[in-house]
Amino acid sequence: MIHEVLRSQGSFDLRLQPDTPKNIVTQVREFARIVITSAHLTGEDLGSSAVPTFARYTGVILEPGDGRISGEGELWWLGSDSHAGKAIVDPVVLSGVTLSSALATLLPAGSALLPGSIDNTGLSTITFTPQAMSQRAAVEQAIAMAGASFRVNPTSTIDAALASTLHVTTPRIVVTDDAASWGDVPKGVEASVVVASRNARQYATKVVVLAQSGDGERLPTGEQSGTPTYLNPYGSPAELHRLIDAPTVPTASAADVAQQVLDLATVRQVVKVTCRHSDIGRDLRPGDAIYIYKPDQGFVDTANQVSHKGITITPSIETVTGISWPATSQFGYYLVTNGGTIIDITSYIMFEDDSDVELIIGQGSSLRGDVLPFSGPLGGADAAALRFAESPAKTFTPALTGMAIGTGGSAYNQATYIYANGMLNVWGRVVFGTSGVTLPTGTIGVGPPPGFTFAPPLTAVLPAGICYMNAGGVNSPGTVRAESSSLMRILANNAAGTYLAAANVSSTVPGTWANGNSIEYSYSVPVS
Amino acid sequence: MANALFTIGRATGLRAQRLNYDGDSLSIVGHVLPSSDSAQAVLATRQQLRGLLDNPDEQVFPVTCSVDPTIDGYYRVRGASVDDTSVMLGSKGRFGVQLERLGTGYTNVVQECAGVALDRTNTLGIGAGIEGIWSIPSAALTDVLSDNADPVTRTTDTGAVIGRFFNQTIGNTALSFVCPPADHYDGSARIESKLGGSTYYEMVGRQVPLTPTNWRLTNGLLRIQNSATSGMLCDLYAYNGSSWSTTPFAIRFTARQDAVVDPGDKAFSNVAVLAVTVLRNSPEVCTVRLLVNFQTITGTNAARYANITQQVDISLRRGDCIATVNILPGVGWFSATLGDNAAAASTGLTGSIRNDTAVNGNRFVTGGTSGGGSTSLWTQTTSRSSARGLNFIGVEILGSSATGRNTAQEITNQWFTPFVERQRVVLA
Repeated sequence: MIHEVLRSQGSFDLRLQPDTPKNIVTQVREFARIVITSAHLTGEDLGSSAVPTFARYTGVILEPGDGRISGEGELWWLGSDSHAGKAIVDPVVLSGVTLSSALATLLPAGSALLPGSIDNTGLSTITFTPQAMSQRAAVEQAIAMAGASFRVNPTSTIDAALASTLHVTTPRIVVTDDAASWGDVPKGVEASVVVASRNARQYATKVVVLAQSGDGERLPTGEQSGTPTYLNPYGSPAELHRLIDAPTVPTASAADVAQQVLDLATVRQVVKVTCRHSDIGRDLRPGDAIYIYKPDQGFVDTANQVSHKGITITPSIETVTGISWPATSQFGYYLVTNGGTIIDITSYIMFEDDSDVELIIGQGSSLRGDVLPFSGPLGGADAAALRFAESPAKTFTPALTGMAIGTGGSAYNQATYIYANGMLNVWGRVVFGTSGVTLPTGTIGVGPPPGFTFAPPLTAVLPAGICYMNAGGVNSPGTVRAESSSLMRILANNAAGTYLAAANVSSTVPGTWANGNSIEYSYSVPVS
Repeated sequence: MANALFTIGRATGLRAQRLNYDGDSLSIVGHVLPSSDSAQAVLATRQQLRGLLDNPDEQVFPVTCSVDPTIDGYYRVRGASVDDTSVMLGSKGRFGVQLERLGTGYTNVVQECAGVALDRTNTLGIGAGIEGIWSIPSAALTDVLSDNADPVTRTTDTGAVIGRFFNQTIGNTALSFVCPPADHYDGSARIESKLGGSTYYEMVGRQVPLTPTNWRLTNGLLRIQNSATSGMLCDLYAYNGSSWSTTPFAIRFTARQDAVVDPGDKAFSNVAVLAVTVLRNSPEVCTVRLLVNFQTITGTNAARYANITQQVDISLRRGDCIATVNILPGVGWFSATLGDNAAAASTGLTGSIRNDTAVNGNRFVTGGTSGGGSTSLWTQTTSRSSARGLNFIGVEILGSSATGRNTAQEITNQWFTPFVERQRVVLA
C-alpha cells in the first residue's frame, strides 16, 4: 500500500515475490528509490529522468531486505524525526522576499529536492531568518508564512502556491453509495464504507501566536479569531483559545501563522472512505476537494447541486488529506538505485489487486497541525531556538521634540534599537537639512521606538546615555536623560565652572545652531 | 393450497405448489402461470423473479397471496431460482423463492422516503418559497402534513397517488408512511421492455434488456419510450385518468456550437438512440441513460463528430407530470434545444413554455434551469467548459381544464423544487 498525506511525507510498503531473482533483491537497498508509473512502460526509453515524468509516485527506500520495499515519500530527505536534512545552523536572512526567491535560497542546487513550479500570486512576502533548524522546517515555515500550500512531485521537486491554485477546489469526483458512474461529470465513485467520527479536542475559537521577541513589543503576538458557535454551561459563547509558542516567527508573520493554525483548529472529522478505483491518483491528489453524498451521515449540502446519474444530488464538499492506495497489477514499478540505474521490477512485485482505496477526509484526528514546526528545529532543540531568537537590531524614526530636520541637504533622522530582557538600547543620529528646518532653541529630545514607553525605575528623572552634538562647528559631548515616558532629553555640558554642569540647549548652546548641524546620541533605559 | 396465486414484487401469476414456514422464513416452490402463453410473457416473469436478488434499488418486496391473508406482507428475498425458459414455455416452469418476513406488525411495516429538498439553481428568477411535491400511493397512510396547500390526487394506470406539498425548508429529512403490500407499486415509476414482442412488461432491477427500439419509462401518468418518428429522442404520452393519449409528443433534441474558432461552428440534429441503460429502477424514481448520436452534423470539421456519442439521462418520479432530462457535455455543445417536434405555438411561463393547442386533450410543457423558448422548443445556452443541460419535459394533463396543482405553471414549479429521495423499509 502507498500512503500519501497532504503536506507530509507519507509512506509506502511493498513486497517482492518470494522467487524474485537474487540480482534484483540485492539491488533493493536503502536510499534507492521506488518509482510507480500509472502503466507499465515497456520499450520506453527508461532514462533516469524519463521515468519520474511518467510517475504516479516516488519514494525513498529506508527499510529494504527480506523482500520488503518500504520507506517514506521524498519529503523525508529534507528532515524527519531523526535527521534535519541539510541543517541550517548559521542564520540565513530572508528579508521581504517572494516565496520563489526564499525557496531558491533554502533549496539551492545540490539539495535533495528542488523548487518546481512556484506561483507567488496572492502570497505574502517573507521576512524570516531561519537558524538552528532543519532544512525541512525552514522550507515549511517559509511556505506557511507566505500563506501557501505545497506538494512534492515524483520528479523530486516541490510545487507551492495558494491552496486554491495548487489543489482542485471544484471536485471532479463524487462519492456515493450507488454504483460507480465514470461517464458522469463529476465522476461517480462507489464507496463501500464510509466511517465518520468527530473529534472536538483540537477545536479553538482563537489562536494567539507568541512571536519573536524584540520586534517592538514586550511580547509580540499575532492572533486570529473565529466565530464561536458553541456555548459554555452558562450559555455564553465558549472561549477556547490556543496559544502557540513560536519564538522564530517574526511579528509581521504572526497573524498569517495564527490564521493557518486557526484553519486547522476545527472540529476534526475523521472520515475513512473505502472505495474501488483502479488508479485514484489519476483523478485525485491529497489536498483536492471531492463531493460526498451520504445524507444519512450528514454529507449533504443544498448549496451544491450536482447532476449525477440523471438526478440532482446535493453532496457536501470535503477536502482529502490522505489517500492510501494499493499496488495493483496495472502499474509499472521501477527501482532507481542510489547511483541512478533504472531497473524494471514490475514482474516481481506482489500485487494487491483485491484491496480498496482509502481516503482520509477533512482534518483527520491527529494532523500535522498539531506539530506545526513553529517552535524551531525538529528533534526538540527548542531551547536553542530561543537562544537565537533574541532581538535583531531594528531601525525607526524617532519623534523629535523642539527641533525638526526639514528637507534638503543631508537631512536625516533615524535610530536603531535592540530590545532584550526589558532593556532598550538605542543609537540615533539627527542631521538638520536646508529648508523647513527648526533649529534647537530650548528643550530638545527624542521619542521612543513604536510600541515602547520609557520606564525608568524611579520616579525622578534619570540619566540614560551620552550624546555628541555638532552645533555651528563646535563638537560637544552632552548627556541624555529620561524625563518622561515619551521624552529622552538631550542636554549640553557647561564647562564654565570648576565642575562640569548640565546645561539646557539653546540657539547658541553648545554652539550657534545652523543647517547641516548634527546630533548623535545613544541611551539605555528600561521600557514597558 | 388449490388455486393460490402469489405476487412477489412485480412478478404475478405465481402458483404455489408447496409452502414451508419456519418462523419468519417462508419458502415457496411452484409453477409460473404467465399472463399469456407468449414467450415474452414467460421471459418477463423470469426477469421479474431473477431481479429480486442482487437488486441495488429495492431490498424489500411486497408479497401477496390470493387465498391466505396471513402470508401478505413485506419480505426480504434470500434466494430466487427459475427454471429454463423452454420448460417454462409449457406453463410447467418451476420457480422457487426463499423469503424472510420483515417487521413485527404484520403488514404495517414503516417505509420512509429519505432525501433532500432542493431549490434548483436557475437563472430564471425562480427562487425559494415554492413548495415541492412528494407522492405516495393513495392507499398508503402517513403522518406527513401537506404544507400550505391541499394534497393533489392523481389517477395513474396502476392506481391513484396522493401528492403532498412541503416547504423547501425541510432540507435533509425522511418522510414516513405505511402501505398495504398490494398497493406498493400503485403509481410507481417503472421500466418496461417488450422483450422482442409487442407487449410491454414491467422489469425489475437494473439488469434489464433494453434496446433502442424497445424501452419504456413510465409512472402511470407519463410514458416515455422510443420514438416512432426517426430522428427524435423519444415519444411522450400522457394518461388522463382513464386512458392513454394516442398521439404522442415526439421529442426533438438538437444542439449547436456557435461563434467558436476551433473546431468551428456546427449544428447537430437528427438523433439516433444507440443504447439504453438502466441507471435506477425503484418505485419512487426510475432513470435511464440514452446514448445517442447525431446523424446530421453541418458546419466546420463536421466529420470529426460523426461518431461521437452524446449522453442524455431521463428520470421520472412517482406521481410527477414532468420528467427530468439531463444532457451531458458529449459533443461539446454550446446550446441545446429540447421540445415538441411539432413546434406548435406556445405560451411562455416562468421557467417553461406550454403549448397552446391540446393534443388528445393534453398540452405539452417544457423548460429548464436557464435559457428560454417559444413554439414548444426550449433552448439552453451555456459556456463550453460547463456545457450541461438540466431540462424537463412534461404534460399538462387535461390541458386548459387542468386545475389546482396540475396546471402547467404548477407542474413547472414542482420540477424546480424536487425532493431527491430514496425509499426504503425501516423497522416499525
